[in-house]
Amino acid sequence: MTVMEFFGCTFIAFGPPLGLFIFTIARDPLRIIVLIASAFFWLLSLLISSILWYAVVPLRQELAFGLVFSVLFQETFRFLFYKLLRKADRGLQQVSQTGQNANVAPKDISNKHIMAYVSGLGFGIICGAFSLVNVLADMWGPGTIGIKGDSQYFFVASAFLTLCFVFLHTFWGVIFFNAWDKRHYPLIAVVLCSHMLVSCLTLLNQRTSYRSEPLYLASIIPAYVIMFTMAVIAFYTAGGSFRNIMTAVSCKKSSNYIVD
Amino acid sequence: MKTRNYHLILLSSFCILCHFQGKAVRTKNKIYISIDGRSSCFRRLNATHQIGCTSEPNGNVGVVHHISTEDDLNWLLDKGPHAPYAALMHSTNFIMDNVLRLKNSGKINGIMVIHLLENKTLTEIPPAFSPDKSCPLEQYGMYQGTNYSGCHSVKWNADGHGMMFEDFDFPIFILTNQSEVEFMIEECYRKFNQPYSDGNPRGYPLCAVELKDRMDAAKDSETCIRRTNHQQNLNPDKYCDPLGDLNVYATIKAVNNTSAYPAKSVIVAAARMDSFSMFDNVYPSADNHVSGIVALLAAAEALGKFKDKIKGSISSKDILFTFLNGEAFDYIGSSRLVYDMQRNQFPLPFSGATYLHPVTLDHISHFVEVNQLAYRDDNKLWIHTDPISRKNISVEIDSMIETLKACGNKSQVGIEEVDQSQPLPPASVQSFLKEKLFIPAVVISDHRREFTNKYYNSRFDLVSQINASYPENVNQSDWYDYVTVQAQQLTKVSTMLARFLYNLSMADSPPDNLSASKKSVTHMLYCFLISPQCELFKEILTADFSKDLSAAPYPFYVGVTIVNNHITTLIEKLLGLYVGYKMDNYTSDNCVQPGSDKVYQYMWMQGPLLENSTSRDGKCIRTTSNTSLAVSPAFTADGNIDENNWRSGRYSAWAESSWAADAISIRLFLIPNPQLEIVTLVIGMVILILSFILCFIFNKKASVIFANNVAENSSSTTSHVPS
Amino acid sequence: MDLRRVKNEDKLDLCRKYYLGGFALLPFLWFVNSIWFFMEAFRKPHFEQQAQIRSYVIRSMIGSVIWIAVIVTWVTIFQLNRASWGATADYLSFIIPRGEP
Repeated sequence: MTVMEFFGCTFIAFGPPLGLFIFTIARDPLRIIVLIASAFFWLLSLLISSILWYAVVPLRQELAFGLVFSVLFQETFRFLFYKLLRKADRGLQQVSQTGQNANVAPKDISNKHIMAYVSGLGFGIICGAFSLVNVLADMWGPGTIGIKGDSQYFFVASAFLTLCFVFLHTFWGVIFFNAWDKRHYPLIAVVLCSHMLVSCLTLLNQRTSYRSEPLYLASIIPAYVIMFTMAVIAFYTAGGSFRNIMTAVSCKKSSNYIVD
Repeated sequence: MKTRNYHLILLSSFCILCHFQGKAVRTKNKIYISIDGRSSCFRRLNATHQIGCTSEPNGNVGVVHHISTEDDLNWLLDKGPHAPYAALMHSTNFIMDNVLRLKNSGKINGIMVIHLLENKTLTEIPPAFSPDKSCPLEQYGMYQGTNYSGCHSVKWNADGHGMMFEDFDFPIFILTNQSEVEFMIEECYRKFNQPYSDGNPRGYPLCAVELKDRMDAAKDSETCIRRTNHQQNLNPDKYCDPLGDLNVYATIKAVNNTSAYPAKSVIVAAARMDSFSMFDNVYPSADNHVSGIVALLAAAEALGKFKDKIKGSISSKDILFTFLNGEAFDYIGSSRLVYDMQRNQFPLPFSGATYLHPVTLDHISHFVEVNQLAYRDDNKLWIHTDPISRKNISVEIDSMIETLKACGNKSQVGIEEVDQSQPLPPASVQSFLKEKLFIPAVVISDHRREFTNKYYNSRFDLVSQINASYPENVNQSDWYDYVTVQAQQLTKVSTMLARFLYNLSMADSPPDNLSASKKSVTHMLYCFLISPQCELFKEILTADFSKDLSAAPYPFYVGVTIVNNHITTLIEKLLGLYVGYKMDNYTSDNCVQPGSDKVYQYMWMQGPLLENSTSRDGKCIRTTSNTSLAVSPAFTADGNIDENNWRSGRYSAWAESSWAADAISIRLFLIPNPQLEIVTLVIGMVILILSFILCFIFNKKASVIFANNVAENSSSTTSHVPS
Repeated sequence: MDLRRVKNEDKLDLCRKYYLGGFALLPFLWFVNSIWFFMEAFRKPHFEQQAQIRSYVIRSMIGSVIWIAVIVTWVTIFQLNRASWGATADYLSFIIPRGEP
């Protein structure tokens, strides 16, 4: 039975996003709406990529081609969603102010990073789901991969890489939105390039004629390095600092701020 | 992987767009390899038992273990630590003894048997193999409860282990695709599972197979038929169907119901039409009973040329040719024929029309049955008679035997009588003698005592075993007309048979030119055993039907009542052609039976090719050849149980389990190392719990951690962004 | 329905209706009753109708327990004997398992 493997991989890939969702999104209707809307935008980008992939018949077998354009479309739709969100600012503000629910605080609108984070997570979750759900469905049993020579670490590697992509999308969301707000174009370039780089790294996981064993570590380690880099950038962008962490760790709750 | 997923994503969303059911590369295709060259053992049921195989609803998974020697088998039974196993066996290992050892060990979840007849190294034909019982059809024969019961004088099927009648709770398959079998041995077994040379088992990952062969019926035929008929929900379910099909018959004299038809005026010439094997759709049946079918058909053809002479004589006896179906399953066809005869229902009467005069048991003057004819004991045929009836009607029987021997001499067929104290072998005539002991009957067969056919009712009853296959130097295109050794011998047998029947009918020696056609025998053997896409079959069918002829031989298994067998139709047409009249000035449109005359059937045949042309010389045949039901009297025509006949216990009660469309499959795959699995699960749980804790803390401390944000965003009060 | 917004008289009325309804071979009403009014009957500070509600709830509980016991017993007996009862069991079944005796 491969049920243990199934649950293991599910927890690896979707445990952290689930935690984030429960503790930071679930209680707030406005955030849920934005999360779903951003996920929908990611789906639209996927649709466009698919059409292109289908239309360009000769390159259908070339993963790299579809991949590059898929990345471009994703970033385009991230930008479109950013535009939409900024356009909707006023409307959202009204909704949250007139709403009955006391949990919706105007700070969601005023603190731009919150919506950036939420939409980034939306991108991440839907991307993760689409990457892994098919794999997970086939994992249930009774067999595992390998009879055709594939690595037995395929499932675990897939799960970790999916997790990495969920986080990356979240961080890219925060950085990207802030960069457009501040007209800080180099950061946009950083997002685009890192997305392209990580996606292309996954090409290493293909088995080719001259490489029988896929190079999982060669893609996962750089992907996680980039992920942590993005995490640091996003952290500082969102207003965090090392000093703040120390303050938080020392358990002295700052009396200046009230946490809802 | 990730890239693959992109590929997937692209594909899947595009599928939604365009309804494209293409070759989406799912991970499933990387995990599983489907084995399609297979044929399964399935479940059949009688009044008291279930036999055959089934799997669990979702299939049985077992680690593949290739058994090519006794040592491999012992390793599995004594050492093999990774039970349950699925044994991949060779035909020579697949014997009852080994199968029972595996079954009783409890370490087995399924068996696969390599069945590649083209490949002599992977499939050696065993010296003997018969899944039938050693005393076939005993229970429904005529010797139950007499001194001759239990085959104690002759064990007819000495090599029969009765594997067919065993109930297995695991699936058994034969594998028929060479490349798949080689893959299974090399890439699955040798690569992952083969024990080290010191006998130590291999470690994980192991290569396993999922054998799915789920049957719907259970317990006995009464239960499954009751369940089929008792429908409570809106989705009618089927659990099983009774076995049965049609008998084929034709009479020479075509006496109608208004004419006189004295008692003891009909000679029955019978042959069995069916056999079985353990595996679905593998019923080669060369000796048992194609040899008998072909011999009787060729005799009918020979006699057909003299039918006017027989008809013209008032004192001549009528000849009733019958081909009985379902005989391998407790005499379904013959018991039904007798049942119908006892009720004046054979041939079926019609009101308001003339029809063939019903034949009753009293009408029968002689009974001649041809059994297996291909493997001759001492190069001779053997006449079997019933010792019980012989006590009373020895004169008739003796005279039949004398005539038959004389006809044999004339036709250069060695034929002799077996020991008179010996009972009849399993034969359809037993159904008749069971009801009426005073019918003079002979059974002509190729064995003196035990069956000479070592593959009785098995998948090895092959054309190559009966000298009917073709030398290597003969082109495949010339096979159709090539006269094999068997064809020559069978022609002589048919001649003898035709002359014998003529003699019995006319009480006079037959004309010298009464002989069977070597050409017809040759063609029939080819068409039945090599390929139905042959000129003879094309000639006797309409253009529409001949287009649908299969390339592979048709199965000689009686099958379930709701499906009509191709073999039955083909034999009906052949018999029709041989004993019928060609009608002049008929076209395919008006070649139909008139409403007032049901004596004859009218068959349109597209006929032989015209010379140097692709069009054919079609003909309309008027013939007595027809079919009658071969459904056990224990079942009604609509597949229900006939209470009285069922309870009498005298009739066959076989039914075949139904199964769902996706109920049979084989998949190869790896099963993972349990340690790797546990590690994966633990990592997953740790990550899950850790992330919940971190999220909780981060969310609580968000205002502190992202404090700098406040300075930037003067309007903001708190920030709320965790990492 | 939110019991917090219902008047005490109406609660009693409702509880009684559920209790009486259960006698029409509707044990699920008793089961619902015993859970729904549990807080009212045993946990809430005393109010006038509480004693009556409590008696209805207790009777409903007894009724549901008896029903559950009966049903569990029957299901157990049926499942253990389905195969051996043959035709009778088939006629009592709505869905007959495939491939099982």
